[in-house]
Amino acid sequence: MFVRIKLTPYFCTGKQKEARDMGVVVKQKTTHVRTAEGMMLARRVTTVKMPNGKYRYPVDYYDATPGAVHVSSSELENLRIPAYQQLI
Amino acid sequence: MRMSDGYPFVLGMVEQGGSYHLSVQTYQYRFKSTRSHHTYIVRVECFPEHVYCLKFFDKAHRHSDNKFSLLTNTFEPRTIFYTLYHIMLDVLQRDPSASFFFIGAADEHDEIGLATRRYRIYRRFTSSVVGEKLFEHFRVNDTSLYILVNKSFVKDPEFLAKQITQEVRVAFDS
Repeated sequence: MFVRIKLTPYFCTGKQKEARDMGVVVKQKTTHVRTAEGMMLARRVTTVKMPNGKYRYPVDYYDATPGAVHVSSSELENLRIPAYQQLI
Repeated sequence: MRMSDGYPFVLGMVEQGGSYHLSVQTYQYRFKSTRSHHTYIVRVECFPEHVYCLKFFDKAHRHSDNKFSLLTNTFEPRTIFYTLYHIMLDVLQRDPSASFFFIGAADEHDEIGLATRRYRIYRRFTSSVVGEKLFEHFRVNDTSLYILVNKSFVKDPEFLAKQITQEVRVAFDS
């Protein structure tokens, strides 16, 4: 009789492995928020189904201001790596 | 050789025109990595209003349509960025009124409409090595575009940044 052996998740690779560790993205919902400084932030809620059947809802934010945005001195200072030398 | 010196580079040729209809001329530089032995080609396209666009790719990928998106996995980005930075200074020496912009190409890990990984790294490096004395910095996150406008030669930097953004959007849509 042919017996189908079900592989344990530890033998899977690639996308299956990613799904095992991080879950599967079911849907994403993005809402936009405008801050007092005029910056537009996108709030993204992702619904992820974990292998145990439960869901988790990680939230992340990113800047979604349309068009060219002037980078202020404080933003530059926050971004820059202090060890680097500014030649110009 | 210090890492901040970058690799020595050569100006290969100056072409009339370029990949985009607004291009006036293109400077083609090349440099060879002494660590990975890969040769890189840097194309600096000149647009009207002394605006320059920096592009670079591995010479081995020159026939690929995705040459700007492919990863080389040589683990030496910092030295390459410093070389590009020195190429930018070379262009600035030739044309002191030059303004620059670059786009971070998307790879397989990036999501459409969001700032690409390359763009985030370029932005961080640029903000670390280029100050505010000579250039005004602008960012456009949705197209992964970073603009350095030459303060001393451009009267209205914001207008030029908007113009560049618009042209890049048109080029992306077509």
